Amino acid sequence: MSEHLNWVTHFEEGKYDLAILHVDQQCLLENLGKSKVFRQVYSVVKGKVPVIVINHGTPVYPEMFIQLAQMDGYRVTEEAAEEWARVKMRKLLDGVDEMVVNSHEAQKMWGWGQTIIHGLDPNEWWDLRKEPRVVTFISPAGIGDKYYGRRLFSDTRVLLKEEYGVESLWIGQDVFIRDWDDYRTFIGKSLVYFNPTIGSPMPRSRSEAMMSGCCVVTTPYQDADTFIQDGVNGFLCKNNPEDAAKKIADMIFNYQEAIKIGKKGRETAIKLFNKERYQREWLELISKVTSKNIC
Amino acid sequence: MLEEKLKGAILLFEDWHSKKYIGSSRIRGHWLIKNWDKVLPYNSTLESFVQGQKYDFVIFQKTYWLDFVKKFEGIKILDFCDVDWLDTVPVIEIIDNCDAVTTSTEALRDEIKKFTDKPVVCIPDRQDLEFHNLKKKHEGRAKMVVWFGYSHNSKVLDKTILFLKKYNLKLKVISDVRPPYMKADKNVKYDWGNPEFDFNKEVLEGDMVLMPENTRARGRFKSNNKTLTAWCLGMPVATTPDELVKFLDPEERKKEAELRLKEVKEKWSVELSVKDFKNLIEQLKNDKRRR
Repeated sequence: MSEHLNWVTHFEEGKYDLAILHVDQQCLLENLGKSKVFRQVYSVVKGKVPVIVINHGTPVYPEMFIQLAQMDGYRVTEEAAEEWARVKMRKLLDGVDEMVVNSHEAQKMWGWGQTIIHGLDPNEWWDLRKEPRVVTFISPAGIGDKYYGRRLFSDTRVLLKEEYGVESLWIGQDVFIRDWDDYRTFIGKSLVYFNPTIGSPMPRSRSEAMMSGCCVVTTPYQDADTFIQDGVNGFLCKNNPEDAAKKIADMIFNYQEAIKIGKKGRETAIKLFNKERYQREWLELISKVTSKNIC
Repeated sequence: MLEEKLKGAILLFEDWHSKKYIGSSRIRGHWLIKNWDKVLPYNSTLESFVQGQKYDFVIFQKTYWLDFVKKFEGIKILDFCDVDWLDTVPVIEIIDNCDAVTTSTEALRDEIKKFTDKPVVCIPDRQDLEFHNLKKKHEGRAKMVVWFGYSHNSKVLDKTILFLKKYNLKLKVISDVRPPYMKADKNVKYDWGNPEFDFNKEVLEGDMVLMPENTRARGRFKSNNKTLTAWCLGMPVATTPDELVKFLDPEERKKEAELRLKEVKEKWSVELSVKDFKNLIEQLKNDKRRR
C-alpha cells in the first residue's frame, strides 16, 4: 500500500482527506456487528471528509430480506425484497460521494453507483501443470445460499459423483490451505474451477482461477456472460446441476481441451482484471471525489 | 562379459497403506513377484519393496510416493488400477517424475495418455493359475448364483433380483459386507487372514457367477479380474439374462467352463504380465542408456 494510504483503527478529525468504507447488503440488518461498525464509522466521518463506499454485495439475500420487506409492507417475493434492499441501501448511504460496486449487474441491481472491476497482478497467479481435478472456493459460513449458489453447488457435487464418478474439492472445507503461496499453488495446479454463485458480484476466487489458467465453469450472473464465451475461454452453465455437472465432467475427461480453454481464460483475465486499469479507475475516482469537495 | 541382474522392487498399495489382503496388490504385486523368475529373460529380480535397499527399478503399485520418486534415479514405473485422480489424488507430478505408466485396463491407459507423452502401457490383470486351484463339478439345474467383490459395488445386483426370483435361484454374496447386501439369501464376509476361510470353496458353493455389466460411472475403468477368477474355478459367468438362463443347464455350464479355462491358460496367465513388465523395463533401460 502506498505510504499516504493507511488502515486506521479510528477516525481523527483533520488528519485525513478521504474515507473509504466497506459495506455490503448484510449491513442492512441493523443488529449485525459489521452493520453497527459501518453505521458508527459513517456517522463519525460523514460531512467531515469525502466518503467512498465499496459495496461488495448485491440486494440478493432472500433469506433475510423477504421477511424484513414484508414487515415494511412489501409483497412476499424475491423481487420485492430486492426493491426493499435498494431503498434501504440508498437511505443507509445517504450523503456518500460515491458507491463503488464490483460488477455492472450489481450497479444495475442497486440502481446507482460506479463499477470498478477488481484488478490482479498476473505475475502473482501461477498457471502450473494441472491436476485433473475440480475445485470451488465459496464461503461455507452463514446464510446466503442463493447469493453463493450453495444449493446448485451441493447438487452439482452429488451429480458429479453419482453420474460421472468425479469427486470435487471445496477449498476451505475439503482442503486445508496453509497460506497464500499454498493457495495459489493449489489453484494453479487445478484443471477445472467451478463457480456456482448467483448473487455474488464478480467473485474474486473465480478471477484468481482464471488468472491461474484453470478452466472455469461458471453461472452466467453478474457480468460473467459478458466476458466468458461458452466453450472458448470457459463455460457458462445454467442454474441447473445437470448442466453444470455435465460441463465440468466433459472438461475433466478432456484434459487437453480444458488446458487450452484455461489458457484462453487467463488471457481474458489479464485483459479484463487488469491491475493498471483498476488502479487508474480508482485514482480517477479519488481525484474526482476529493477535487469536487475542495471546490 | 556377463551383465549383472537388475534388482527390482514393487511398492505394494497394501504395504504403503498398512492394509492386508488387497486384491489389486495380490494380482498386480504378489503374483508378479512369485512368477518373476519363471519367465525369460532372467536378467532381473523382483521383490516386495524394502526400505533402505538399493534398486535398479521400482514399480509403484497404486502408490504415490512423490518425494521418493523425485529422488530415486533408477527406472520408475507407476502402476494404476483405479482412476484415483477422480478421487482427487494428485497424480500429474508423480507421472511426470516416472519413466512409464502401466494400467490394468485399456480405458485407464487411454485416459492417462491424455496427461502425458511418456509410455503408457496396458498390462491387464491376469491370473496365477495355482491360486484358484479348485474346479467346479457341474451337476443338475442351477440353484445358486454367486457374486463377489467390494460391497460398495454390490448395487449392480439390484437389477437382477426379480429375474433371480423368477428362475428360483438363490443369491450368495461374498464381500467385505460393509454393509451386507440385504437382498442376498446369503452374505459371506471376506476373511483372508482366517485359515478357516476358503474363498474358492465359498465361490464353488454356487453354480455360476453373476457379473451384471457395471454401468456405474467408473465401471468402464474396471478390469475383468473377477470374471477371470470365476473362470479359473470352472465357474461360468452370466453377464446378461440370456446367459443366466442358458447356464441353468449343467451341460451348458460344463461346456462354458472348459472353454473359459482353456482361454485363461492361453491368454490370462500372470506369466504374460511378467513378460510385459520385463519387456517394458528392458525398453526403459535401453532408453536411459541412449540418453
